[in-house]
Amino acid sequence: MEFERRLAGKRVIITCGPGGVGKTTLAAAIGLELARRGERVAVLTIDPARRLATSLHLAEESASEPTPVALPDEANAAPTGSLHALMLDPKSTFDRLVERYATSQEQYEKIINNKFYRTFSGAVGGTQEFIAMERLYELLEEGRWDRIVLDTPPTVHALDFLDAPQRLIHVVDRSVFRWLAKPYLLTGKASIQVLSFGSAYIFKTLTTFIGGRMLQDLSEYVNNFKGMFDGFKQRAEAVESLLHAPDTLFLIVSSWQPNSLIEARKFYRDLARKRMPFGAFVINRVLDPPRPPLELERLTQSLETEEFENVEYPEDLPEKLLKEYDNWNRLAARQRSNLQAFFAEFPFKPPAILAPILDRDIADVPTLLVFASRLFGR
Amino acid sequence: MDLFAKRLLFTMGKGGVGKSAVSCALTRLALERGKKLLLVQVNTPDKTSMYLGTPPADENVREVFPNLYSVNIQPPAAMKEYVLLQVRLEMIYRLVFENRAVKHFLRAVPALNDLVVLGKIYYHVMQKDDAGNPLYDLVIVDAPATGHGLQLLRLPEVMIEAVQRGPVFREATNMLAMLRDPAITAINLVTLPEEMPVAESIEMFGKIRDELHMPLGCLFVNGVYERVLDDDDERAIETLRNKVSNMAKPDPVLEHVLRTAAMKISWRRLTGRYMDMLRREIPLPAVKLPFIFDESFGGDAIERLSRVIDCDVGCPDGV
Repeated sequence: MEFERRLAGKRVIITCGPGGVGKTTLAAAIGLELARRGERVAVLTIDPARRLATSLHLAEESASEPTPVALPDEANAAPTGSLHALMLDPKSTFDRLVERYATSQEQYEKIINNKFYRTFSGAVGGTQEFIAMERLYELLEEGRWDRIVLDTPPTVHALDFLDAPQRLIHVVDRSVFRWLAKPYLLTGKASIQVLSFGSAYIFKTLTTFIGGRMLQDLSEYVNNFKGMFDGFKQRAEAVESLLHAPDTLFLIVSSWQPNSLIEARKFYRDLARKRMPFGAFVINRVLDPPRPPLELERLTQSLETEEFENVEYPEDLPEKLLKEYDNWNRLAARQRSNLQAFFAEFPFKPPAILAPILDRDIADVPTLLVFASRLFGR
Repeated sequence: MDLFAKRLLFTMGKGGVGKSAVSCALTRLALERGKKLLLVQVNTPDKTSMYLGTPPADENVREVFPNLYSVNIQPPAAMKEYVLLQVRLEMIYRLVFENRAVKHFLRAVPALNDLVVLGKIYYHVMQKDDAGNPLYDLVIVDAPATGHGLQLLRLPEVMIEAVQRGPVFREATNMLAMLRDPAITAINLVTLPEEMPVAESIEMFGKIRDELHMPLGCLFVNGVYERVLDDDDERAIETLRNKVSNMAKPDPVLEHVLRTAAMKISWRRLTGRYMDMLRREIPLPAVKLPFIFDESFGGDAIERLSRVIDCDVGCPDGV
């Protein structure tokens, strides 16, 4: 119920958080639930587990475009709803971006074939993160989705993807790169005298540091982008304002393990600092709260009632059951104290959704549906 | 394989699999063996101090316990250190590298940041004391999660190919030689018996062995459920659960106990399947680390893990 209310009216839902906490599963479950309720949903994922990817048809070649996922009968889906999933293909998205803003076919090819571009998919930092945002923007422009759920790259540093648009603006900003992109660097040291004393000095020192050849390659690379800067900048600014839009929502996903919670808190701070719209923490794989300790006698008695008369079980089963019960209880107690400590550091209790642990991997649509139903308290 | 005879150990794996816990358990064991060591984290919220009971690591190398030095490498600080080693003058550093344009440029080339991180690791492995002996017996790197971790290891080769000569080329060549030397380096994999971590470690194993050609150490599998219930128990539990689910008013306590047990059985079976898969696909000495059900996970838990590792990899021909 709570979760449903949080998501109401949000067109773009972004799941972020540390790696290995179930961001993709959560994004898929949210998408599935919203589709079941009659909305047209696209789920954009980055790096899904193979079996989940297979069941969402993401293992196929065409997966970089929205691919329909059939909703099972037991979903009781409203007829208007539909679920599409797609996987990020950073290389082709970036290529498309270059193609869109290249001033000529020649320029496009020069960039695409540059060594740095090929090695790093663009030597520009935070490329993958930026690309995720770019793809999101493309989907929004399509105008055929009620909701888009975006699963972010597993970056350790929240800032990497939040900063990506801003950073690209900096990097392609002409004033910053002008001196590097100037053609004199292409011709090497011979024309160094045309630089001002300061620039010449900087250039010389940088050469000692990273080597003239590499500097030359890099400046050639930057030089290739000449004329495209305005387009890039415009795009990055549009993505930036999209992230701040009132119908965008960030969910921070975390496990209840301390290291994961430490990173979740860092994500929260980064979001707050950048004034991004925070929706809720989603704590994944949560066990039931601990129960009071149990006496062996109590357990033995409950197995000795007449209903179980005909059931044969090993003599020491009650003891073993008790051991398992105690183990899980201790774990549940650890989980509770971790979460209490986590929330205690906030001046108010932030919205948090507890997603239950299941007894199996979430690797197919029916299991995803079970997970979604528990998540949304259906 | 005696990991403690090496000079440089990496702990690699997907995020959240317990790399830091394994790094800290290895750290404890190395200290017990009288090693002087440096524990390295790379640009991350500090994750080792709570396991070791030491002050948090920051960008400066510091002795946090007798013989244990600790650092959390921050690329900007490492960049400055590296540049100062080369150009020697603080004034020049400020003039050139704190120039706005240069700063943005350096930040924008992620490869350079990774290069200085690796450069710092290389520097500390090679660092000598006044007598000319290695300053540290062992450097343990709690590596960034898979994607970034692999990128870090791949970087020297990429740089050698991309640059072809000059200082970066020379540095990268030295780093690569160190990373490929089985007498110096062992790359250890850490995983959990779950789908994604297992798939990633299988993939990572192939890449490190066949593409990077770097020496692998052990496979640490965290969170392995110990078997409490045998086949007979499991069958009985299933029968009991069926009975309970058909009862009009089942005993809620019993119902919960059975549910907990059934959950554990499912997880244990899954664990078994993934262990088989790991055994099949990753031919490395494997160390199974037990799932810790304690009410807290701190120094005591790390001690227990280190005892298990000790049995497995402590002796020269172990595992």
